[in-house]
Amino acid sequence: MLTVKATSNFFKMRDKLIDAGLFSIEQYQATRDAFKKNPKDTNLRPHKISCKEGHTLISITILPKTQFRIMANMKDCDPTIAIFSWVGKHREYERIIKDKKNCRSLFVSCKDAVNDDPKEITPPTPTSASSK
Amino acid sequence: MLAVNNVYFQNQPSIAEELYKAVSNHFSQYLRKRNFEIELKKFESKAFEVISKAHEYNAKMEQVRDFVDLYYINDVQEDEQILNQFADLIDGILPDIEYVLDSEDIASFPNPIRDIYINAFDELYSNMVNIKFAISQKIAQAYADSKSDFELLQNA
Repeated sequence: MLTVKATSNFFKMRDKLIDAGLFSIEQYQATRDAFKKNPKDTNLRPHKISCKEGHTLISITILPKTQFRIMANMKDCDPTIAIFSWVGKHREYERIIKDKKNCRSLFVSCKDAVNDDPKEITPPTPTSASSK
Repeated sequence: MLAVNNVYFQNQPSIAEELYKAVSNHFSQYLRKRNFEIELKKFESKAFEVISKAHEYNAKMEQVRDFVDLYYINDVQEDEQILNQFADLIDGILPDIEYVLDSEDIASFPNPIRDIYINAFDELYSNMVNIKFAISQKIAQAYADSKSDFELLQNA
């Protein structure tokens, strides 16, 4: 299974939204667990954003179908780890993906992301992990 | 050039401190919900003053954004604290800017002032959201780039 960690600022942002009653800790945990199992789970409405060479950002929705999104950083060369770095309203998320200063390369829809390079965001199976 | 860069990197914390003081002082004085509540009521006489303030704060935010973009991470944990103070400051102000953008009072403003007003705050809002995001990415990428640093992070 994918190892998912988070920055201190992510926890701060998450707790602020939870304290404001915008989503619950249970909803967050369900989202995190679904992402750990399969970052391409369609319920998470994953989008792939390319911002920096060698790094990929996966944006997912907090379950079930909320207007809040989490950004997870993944390294193209290591699909076993991810870092939750940002969480916020969809309104903020839209500003981020529209800003050319942030992500100069393309914003790829979920469907395209799946077809783009499945190896990039597929966690290794137990067999492939043990054979390393 | 390298010497210039080295001096710049060494001075990053003090530059951050100065910039933080300047920006936080600016925002605490004026651009907060409690002030908007008053200003929006007497908008007609204050319109251009409020708009010029928004542009002024936006210029400050551009400075912060340039600073974050150029920031070189030496020690991820120390630098995270330095950059996070800007993220925290922005986080405290964003709801107030949202208040302005969502205020029903704006609908009654005469055009074209209304459009100029909304554009000024819209730009400011975008800039602030994107600075927060840029900080989050700078830090996350630094942690991801080093296995030992990655281990320091808490499980999500």
